[in-house]
Amino acid sequence: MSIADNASVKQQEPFKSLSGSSLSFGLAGWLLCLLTPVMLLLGLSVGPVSMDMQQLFQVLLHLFTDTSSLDPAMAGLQTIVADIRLPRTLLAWIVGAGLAISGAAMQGLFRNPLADPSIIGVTSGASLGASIAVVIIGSSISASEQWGGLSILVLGAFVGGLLAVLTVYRLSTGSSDHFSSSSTSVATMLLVGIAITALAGAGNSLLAYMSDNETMRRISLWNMGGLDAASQPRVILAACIIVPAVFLLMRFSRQLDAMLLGESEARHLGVDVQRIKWSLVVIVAFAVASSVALAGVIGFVGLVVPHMLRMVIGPGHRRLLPYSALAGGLMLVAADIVARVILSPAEMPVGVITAILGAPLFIILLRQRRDYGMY
Amino acid sequence: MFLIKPLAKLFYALLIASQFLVINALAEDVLTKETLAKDALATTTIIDDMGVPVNLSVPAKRLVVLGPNLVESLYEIGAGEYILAASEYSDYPEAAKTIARVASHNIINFEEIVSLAPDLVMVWQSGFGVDAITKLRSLGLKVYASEPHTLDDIEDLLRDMGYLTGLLDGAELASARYRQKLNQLQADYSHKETVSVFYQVWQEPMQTLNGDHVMNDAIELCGGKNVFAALPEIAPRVSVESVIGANPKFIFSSGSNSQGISELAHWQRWSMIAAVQNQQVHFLQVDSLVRHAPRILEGAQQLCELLEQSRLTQKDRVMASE
Repeated sequence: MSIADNASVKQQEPFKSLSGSSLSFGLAGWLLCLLTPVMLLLGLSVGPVSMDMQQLFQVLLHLFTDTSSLDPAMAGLQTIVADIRLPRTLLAWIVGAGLAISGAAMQGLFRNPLADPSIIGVTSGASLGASIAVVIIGSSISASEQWGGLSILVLGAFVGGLLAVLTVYRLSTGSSDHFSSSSTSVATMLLVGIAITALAGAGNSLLAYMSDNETMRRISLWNMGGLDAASQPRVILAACIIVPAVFLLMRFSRQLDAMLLGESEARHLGVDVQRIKWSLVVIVAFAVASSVALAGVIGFVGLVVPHMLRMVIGPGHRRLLPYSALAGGLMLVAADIVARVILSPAEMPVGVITAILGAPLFIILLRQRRDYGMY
Repeated sequence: MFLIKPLAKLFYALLIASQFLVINALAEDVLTKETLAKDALATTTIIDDMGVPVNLSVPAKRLVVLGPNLVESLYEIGAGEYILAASEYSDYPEAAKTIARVASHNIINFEEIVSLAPDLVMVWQSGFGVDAITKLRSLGLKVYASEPHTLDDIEDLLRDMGYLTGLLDGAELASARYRQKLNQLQADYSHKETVSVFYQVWQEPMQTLNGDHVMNDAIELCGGKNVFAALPEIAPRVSVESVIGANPKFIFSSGSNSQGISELAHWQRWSMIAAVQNQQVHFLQVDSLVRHAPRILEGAQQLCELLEQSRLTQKDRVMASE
């Protein structure tokens, strides 16, 4: 334990001049904690049906009470907030948090700044699963047939994502290592992940090629990501899978700090490297597969949010992981608000917004910290 | 995806390279035909929907047709037997099913088309894209691009087809038949009390069509008003909340199979929408409503009848409550 502590201290040394000051850490923390409720409230108050602050306040007061006591107009507004905006905002928050913390964990595990949650093949696997559901199953039964608010599409994506990760993990685990009977090479996992991503992408393209125009457009729209299908069952599912995953990932901060030194160094520091790899991959797979299944492919959050935070608060995972979760949630809620307002009453795919909002911010930060490195 | 793109590019490059041989041979052929035609007949010039003039010295009798709607329309004017090859999904009328296929919705067999040496290629623009049309033209083929936005445009399409194929009588007959039916529907329904309408393309992601789509024209013909007609995109994504905000009195979806019915079920949760409250959420089991061909009026008629029914139930309800 103390050794691992040591490691994390060692980690921060090169960063001391940049971000070690408690001011920027405190400021970032306060800012995130302050902005989160503001953004969540904004998420509830903005939409095509206009509503003033007083009405919103009244609706929020009666959010979980019986609507029959309200007059019809207020009851309508309450349904809109409770059944549309609340699930949507919460889903954005949870998915954003899950993607960002998964990204931080994957970047730490792979010691690669380009790593993001999709690196282990989960996103493309989920896309393929969804496409298969839409094309093959969808032609016999409706792809949107609801089972408690969850469609075949959601199930297909979830199963596809998990299967892809399992394949990647199995293929990159062998017994060639001298230290243990079976070990996973992180570099191999990275490459197998790329191969599986390519393969699943090819499968996706093949399905798009074989399917008719409508189905293809549907797949491509779904792949752009969107939170407009948010519903209470989906939020509950997200809360049951992604939220525990977020908290579980936070427990790996010391081990991830040690891993930054290098795998063998971490092993010498007493970290069970193989177990960490397996656990992280499994947790991230569950978190990301369900987020893709529930909200489509949302890029950028998982890649960029952890980097932005590293630039501000340094690479120590004890802070990086929870802050990534907070910032990721914040960013996706904000992006979703923009997505529904900018073309209202039409919707913009949220994945487009995250990139448009995130990329300039990221570049500004990068230019301020030209010497930014991950470790 | 990352793997397939370079492969596709390579394939594409090979495809183009291989075609140069064919085109060269063909270009000479076209040249001689043009010079021959000059002293024979005055050329027919039709401006297509891309604004490009299509010159034909003699009526086209050998056609390649990309777009099921165009195939249908050609049969309507009696030019069905001129079709050498067509695209997938050309399934109406029955005879169209046996036509050779040279394209699916996203891939066109350019080589096959060139080797058929058609007098004219007719292409549904939004179905196959401007790029494909440009490519066909660059291969020395005469191309008529069609992009009907309104119900009136379909009448023009039939007339254009008549000029292009020389079947003026057949086209006149078909367009008169179409015009008469359109006028009839217009007289019967378009002056009726306006009903606000939401058309759902599909549920997830929820999409509708704006005012530029021929569907909008069909809705207006029936005396309906598309609540999202003013949106800039042709097939905009909308949310349940935007539909609640628009509060349509009539919600519908259409398709050739009954799959779409289940995609409408979710509306039952939103009883604040007038259409849901009055049970005016409908599925039209027709494929003709989304085909830009004369048969679209069959679908439009069904829509008009449903809308009329909805007006009547509305009145009944008002009377009952009084």
